[in-house]
Order: sequence, then C-alpha cells, then structure tokens
Amino acid sequence: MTFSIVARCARTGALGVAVSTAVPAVGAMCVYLRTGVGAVSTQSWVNPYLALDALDLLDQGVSAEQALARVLKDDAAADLRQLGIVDRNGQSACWSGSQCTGWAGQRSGTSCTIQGNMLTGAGTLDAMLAAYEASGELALEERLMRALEAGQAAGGDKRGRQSAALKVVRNEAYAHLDLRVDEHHEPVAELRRVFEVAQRQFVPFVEGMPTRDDPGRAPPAVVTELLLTPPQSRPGATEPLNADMRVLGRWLGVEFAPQRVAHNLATYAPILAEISKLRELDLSEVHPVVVFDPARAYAEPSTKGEA
Amino acid sequence: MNDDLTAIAAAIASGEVSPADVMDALLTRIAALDPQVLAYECLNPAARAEAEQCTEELKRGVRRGPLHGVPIAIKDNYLTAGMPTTAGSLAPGYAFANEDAAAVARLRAAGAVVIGKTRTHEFAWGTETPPTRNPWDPSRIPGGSSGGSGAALAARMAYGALGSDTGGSIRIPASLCGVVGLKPTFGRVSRAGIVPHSWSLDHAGPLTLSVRDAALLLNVLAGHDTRDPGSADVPVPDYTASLDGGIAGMRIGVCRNHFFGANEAEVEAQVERAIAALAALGAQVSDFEVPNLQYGLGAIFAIELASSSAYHDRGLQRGATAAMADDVRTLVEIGRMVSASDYLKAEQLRACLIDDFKAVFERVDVVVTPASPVTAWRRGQATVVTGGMEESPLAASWRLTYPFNLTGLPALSLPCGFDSRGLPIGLQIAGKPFDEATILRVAASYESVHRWNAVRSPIAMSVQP
Repeated sequence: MTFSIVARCARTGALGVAVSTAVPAVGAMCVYLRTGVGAVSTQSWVNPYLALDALDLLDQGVSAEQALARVLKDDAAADLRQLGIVDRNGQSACWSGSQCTGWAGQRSGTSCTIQGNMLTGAGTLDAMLAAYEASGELALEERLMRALEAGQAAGGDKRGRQSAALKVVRNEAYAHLDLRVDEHHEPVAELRRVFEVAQRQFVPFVEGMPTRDDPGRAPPAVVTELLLTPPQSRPGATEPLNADMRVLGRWLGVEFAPQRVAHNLATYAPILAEISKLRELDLSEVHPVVVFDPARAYAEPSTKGEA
Repeated sequence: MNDDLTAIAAAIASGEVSPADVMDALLTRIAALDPQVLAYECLNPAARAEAEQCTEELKRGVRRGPLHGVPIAIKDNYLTAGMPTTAGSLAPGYAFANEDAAAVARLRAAGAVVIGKTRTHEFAWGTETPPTRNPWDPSRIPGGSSGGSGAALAARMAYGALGSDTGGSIRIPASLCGVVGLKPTFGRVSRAGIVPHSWSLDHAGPLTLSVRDAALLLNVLAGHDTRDPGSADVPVPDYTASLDGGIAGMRIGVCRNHFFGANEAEVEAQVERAIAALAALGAQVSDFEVPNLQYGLGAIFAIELASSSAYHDRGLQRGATAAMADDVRTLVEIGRMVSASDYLKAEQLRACLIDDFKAVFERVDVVVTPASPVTAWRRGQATVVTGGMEESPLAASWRLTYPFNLTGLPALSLPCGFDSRGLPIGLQIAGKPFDEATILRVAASYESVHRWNAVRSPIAMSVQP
C-alpha cells in the first residue's frame, strides 16, 4: 500500500523519510525519526510500536539489523509488516513480510533503504533508488523528494494516490522539514509544490530558530519581515488558480501547461461571454439540430466490412 | 473573361492550346511568383507528366470530362494520392492516407490535373494562413483558412482551387483575395477524405476566378456520397445552365441586423453600391432582420470548439498540441471547456436560426450581405475599426460568414470593388438549401456588368501570362 525511502546523508548526518500511499495521512502513520539516532518507516499492516521500539533500541546502541530482528521476534503478524530502518551510522535494514500484498519488495543503497508493497511493479523501487543514487551532491530532502517523484512516475501504488509525506531531521530534536499532504489526487506533485513553497518561505525561518547550543538564536530580519507579508506576495508563492485548474482539468479532460493556464483562460473568457448568452435562453421546446436517425444510420453496410 | 477555368477548358477542348503547354506556363509562373506568395505547400511531382498524358489522350480523341487537362490546386487538408497531406501542421502523431479525397477523385475523373497542395491555416482553425501573403499587398494576410487557394488564384497560379469552409474558410479568403468562393449547401459536396475540423459545420467547395467557373466546378463536385455521413441524396442540376438568366424580378433580401453597422466604412459603402446595382439590374430589394443572430457567435464557438477538440482528442491527451501554432493550440485546448449542455443549446439555437431563415426564404430568393467586415489586414495587425469601434480583425473576419455554416445554407463570395488601399471587397450571396443555381445566377448577373474579377493583383501583373 506504500512506497517509501529511509536514508541518512553521509555528509551531514541528517536523517529522513519520504513516503506516499493510497491511504490518507501517511505522514502521521508511518514516519518515525529521532535526531542522531535513526529513521524508520513502518508500513503494510502498520504497527507503529515496531518503529518506536526500534528507535529505542537504536538509541541504546543496537545496530539497525539487530533492532529489526528484535522488534519482529515478538510480533505475531511479522509476515504482514514492512519495515525500513537506517541508523546513525548509515547502516540499514529492511523487512518485507511474506504476506505483504504484491507487488512487494525492497532495495538497499548507500545509507538508504527503499521498500514498498501493493505496487504496480518493481520498477517503482528501482526508479527511486536510481534517482536517490544519482543526486548525492544535493541536500537529503531534495534527494528524498526526487526519489519519491521517480517512484510515482514509475507506477507507484497500484490502487492510486492519496497522501505523501517528507520529514528530515538534522542536528536539533525538532525537524528541519516536516511536510505532509494528507489527501490529494496528486499527492507527490502536491508535496513538491508545498516543498518548494517551504524552501522559500519556511526553511529560512527554521534555520534561524533557537538551538540547544544557541538558545538566543533568531531568524534574520529579512526573514521575519518576509513572514509579515501575505503568503501570496512572498517568493515562491503559487497561484491558487493552479490547484483549481488541476481539478478542473481532470473534469474537463485537459491539463493546460502551467505557463499556458492564464493565456488559455483569458482567450476563453470572451468566448464564454458569448456562449453564456445561450444560457439565458429558454429553448426547452426546441429539438436540437442533432437528430438520431436509425433509418439513415443503419442504411449503409458496416464500415468494418464482412466479418 | 478569357483566362478563367471555363476559357482554358474550352481552349484545350478546341485544340487551341495543349494541356502540357498550359501546365508548363503555369509551373513557370509558380516558380517565378510563389517564392513571394507562398501559396503552395507542395507541388504535384507528376503534374507535368499527367498534363502530357492529357495531351496525348486528346490527340487520340479521348476527353475524360469537362475539365480535361485543366490545372487545379487542392487545399492541403484534402487527402491526395501522390502528394503528402499536412493539414498545415507539424504536430506529431497524425497520419493521413495517401489516397484521393472524394472531391479530388471527382476532379481527376473529370480530367483535371492537380497542380499541388495549397496552404491552409493549421487544421483549418483560423483565418490568416501563415505564411501565405496576399497578392494584392504582400504585407497582408490572404485570409483563411483556405488562404493558399485564394492567394494562388489571385496571383494567377491556378485556374481553380478547392477550399473547405467551417465558419467562412472559403468565402473569407475569396473576399480578401478578390476571387470567387462558393460554400455549397451542407451535404451538396462530399467531405470524404477531408481532414475533419467540425463535422456538422465543415463544407467542401471551390474557389475560382469567375462565377461561371464556380458553376462548372460545382457541376463536377456535387453529388451524393455514402462515405460522407452528411452527404445529401439530392438531384444535381446543371449549374451553368441558368447563369445568363438575368435577375429581373428576383427578390433580394438584405438582413439589416448583424450584417450591417459593424463593418469597415468603405466595405459597407461598396456593398450598398452593389445592392443598388442589383436593384438596377431589375431585382426587388427588401430589408429584414433576424434577431436570433445575436446568439450566433456563442453557438458557432460552442460547436466548432467542442467538435475540433473531440477530433483532436487523442492528440490533446498525448500532448501533441504543444507542437501546434500558438493560436491553434489554444483553440484545441480550450475546446474541452465547452460543456455538453452549452454544446446542445448551441444545436438548439441552430434550429431556431434555421426556422428564422426558412421564413425569410419564403419571401426572398437570395440574401445579400458583405462577405467580410474587413479587407485584408496586415500580418500581426492588432485591431481594425468596424462601425466606429476597434476590434481584432480575427474576431471580425468570420462574423458575416458563419451564420451560413450554422444554417447549412449555400453562400458565395464574389468581388464587388476595392477600398482606397486597393484591397478587394467581397459581396456575399446566400440562398435556399440546394439552390446554388439561383445564387450563381445572381452573382453571374452582377459580375457580367461590373467585372471586378477582371482586375488583376499587382503580383499577377508582374509576370506576363
């Protein structure tokens, strides 16, 4: 029911999880992180205690592999669980129970583990791993976002799409980035949109927040001034129109390229004004020119020719 | 007129000239002129050989039909054997059969030799036909979507041409290029093998150098064809038979709303002179109004946009519209926004308009209007002044023609003078369903006296025939 990536940045030690599924609010259910300890995604028939207990074990210095073995040992439904763990050293472990709904499986890369079930196929995980491995020079959150996008593009959850989440911790006990799209027809695309807004409007503020080492720390004036302006006038603001247009686009069966939305709507406006005049007319007594005429429709032989 | 299609067909039939000589002279003109006009998308590589074969046949006494050996140009949204069809588009994923459309097959069966394919506004969805130039002023557009056909005739690079007309695409370029364009009754000429644009509005028809040429080509083109679901099984008269019948006592109606009051001043003045000239030829002129025309623009937009987007739906879903010209891409994409209810109300409004014109044609024999509110506009020109107001030339261009696509009634444009810039003005004559003969008779009567069609464009005069 889910595809996810759990990873540690070898350069910064940041830990992160990104996940998407066809169930609402995945970010509140599957994602568990503890700064300087480890990161876990618990999925399939979810048992959050497996993740919480695994983090406790990692905190005691147990390796990812041993933590995985110990939490599953006492779980009667281990066959239905899927778990990915990365510890503070980048060691990873993962588990896909034999009763997880297919296609189900897992992949391991450098300081990361990728797992999924109820997928359209193995291509989802391969695409995630390839995207993650190809972006080593970038920040962990961007790499996770790219992996999630690649997984979705390669197929993703076979039932469809509903929610997505991305969480990264760096040096503080609070998250550096913690984004969730709880209910959306394109959750990964929507997560990217929120991600971009957060990069411009939110991350600069987080980076100026107090830390354990520097309790008096404050965001620079330029950031606080930014946050005093209305959201739509800040850098990175996206037109609310775009979200509406995606819904409308689905209903209408056409998705306009982002740079053409305004142009197409502006072109249609005066046309719609003309068409709207028809809406004022009561033509209920008038048969349209379109006439279904079986006498004519069946008069000619089928265009398929003889069977 | 001694150099129209009728004249060249007669000269070929009498042995005065050979099809090969006619084709050679024409290809020489095209080589000299078309680099300036850009009317042709491609030439028929077999044109010379086919003309030679017509010449040989004549020597053996074989004459295939009334167009034996006559060169004719085909709009590039008609399928053709031996020449590619592009419909003016580079969009991927469209493949057009290498076989003759029904109308092309009829022309060839009558002996015509295809010169080549004339340029169309992409997928016939517009009235400018880039990159074709107007032979009366190369800085101006030829109209569209059959702009290549109109320009080829105005530059005397063809003796006749096929066009297609969904909202005015035969009559607008005819008007702007100073030639004759006939949109016959819906169903009169088969559309089998024409790239569809809007099934219930698309018409096939000729553009010509004279009214009698239009009659001659309609004789060849008209007739029932089961391969076109819109084709009508209605007897075909000899359209040339009544051309000289005169118009004494003919009842001519002038629709004073919608067609007048929002035209360029010189266009309106010249059309009023033409109406007076028809009265002077013996016609009885009366005015009428059709208030429902105020809803016509919404109706044709709803039908044409929705139909075009349905035809292009596969291209739309695969993103092929990104490879279309900006204006056409926009129209194909926004066509999906027309709701089904709006579409059907438009089809209901159409029934009202048909009823209105039915009543009108109980009292008159033909209706006369300007063909285009504006003469040829400059490439990229943003506005024109019509009725004292500024509007875009594109919006204005089809106002007077689309009512006869909605009603399916036959309508013809013929030259009726020039504005002060020397640009042609068109007179539109519309008639009763399947009564093209009366339209042609009125047009021929006017043309025989005023002979505006004999005035040649500067480019046509730049090379001696």
